[in-house]
Amino acid sequence: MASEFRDRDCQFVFVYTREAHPSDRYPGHDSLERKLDHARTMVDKLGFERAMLVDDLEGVVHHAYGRLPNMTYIVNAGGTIIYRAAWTDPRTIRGALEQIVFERGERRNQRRITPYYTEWLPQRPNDDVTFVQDLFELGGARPVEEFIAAMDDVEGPAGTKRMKEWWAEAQTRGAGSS
Amino acid sequence: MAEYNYKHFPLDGDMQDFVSFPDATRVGTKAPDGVLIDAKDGGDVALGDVYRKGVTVVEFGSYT
Repeated sequence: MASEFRDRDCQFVFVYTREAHPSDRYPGHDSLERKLDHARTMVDKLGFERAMLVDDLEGVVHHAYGRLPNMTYIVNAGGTIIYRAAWTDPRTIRGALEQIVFERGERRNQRRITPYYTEWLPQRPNDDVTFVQDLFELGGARPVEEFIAAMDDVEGPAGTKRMKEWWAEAQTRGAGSS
Repeated sequence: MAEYNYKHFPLDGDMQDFVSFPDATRVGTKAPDGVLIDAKDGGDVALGDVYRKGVTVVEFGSYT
């Protein structure tokens, strides 16, 4: 999406925050150097197209924008927030960018457009088993166990049943323990 | 409240941040400014300077 919309005068940046799911391989940051190292590893491993900008160790910018682990904002050239979402969902981001490109075309054609406020509560694909599988591949057993424990606390046993079943099976296959 | 750079994922899943998010900033208002480090060359980048170049999609996250 970044390369597609870059041709339509939209730019994409990534702001590196604290580690959402620290592990022994990728621990919580104890220095700016470690934070930069993790950010550069992410660029290398994922083949980043976007600019990688790293927040300071205390997360000053992260705090100012809401401190969520994977939120997305769209800001116009005047510095005004025109979209913000608690989670990064490519579908709604694409929809917002299509709208922005449409508005730009209307202005270019000198058609009058005016802003209006809206609120929306979309839902995104969010497979919990896939999530903990990815956590395990990246960080090993500890982030998996900590996440399941936290979700147990937040959602209760019904919310963590699938993850626990996957984790129990993974461990019998030798996934290891913390 | 847990320290910012926690060593272990917090038991409450940082749910308070999700509860507070609707009020953290508002569409239609100025995006907070700040200085970040460009991972490519280590130089400082002011968010305000980034935004002036055009519509900007800002994703926040980490490798984990």
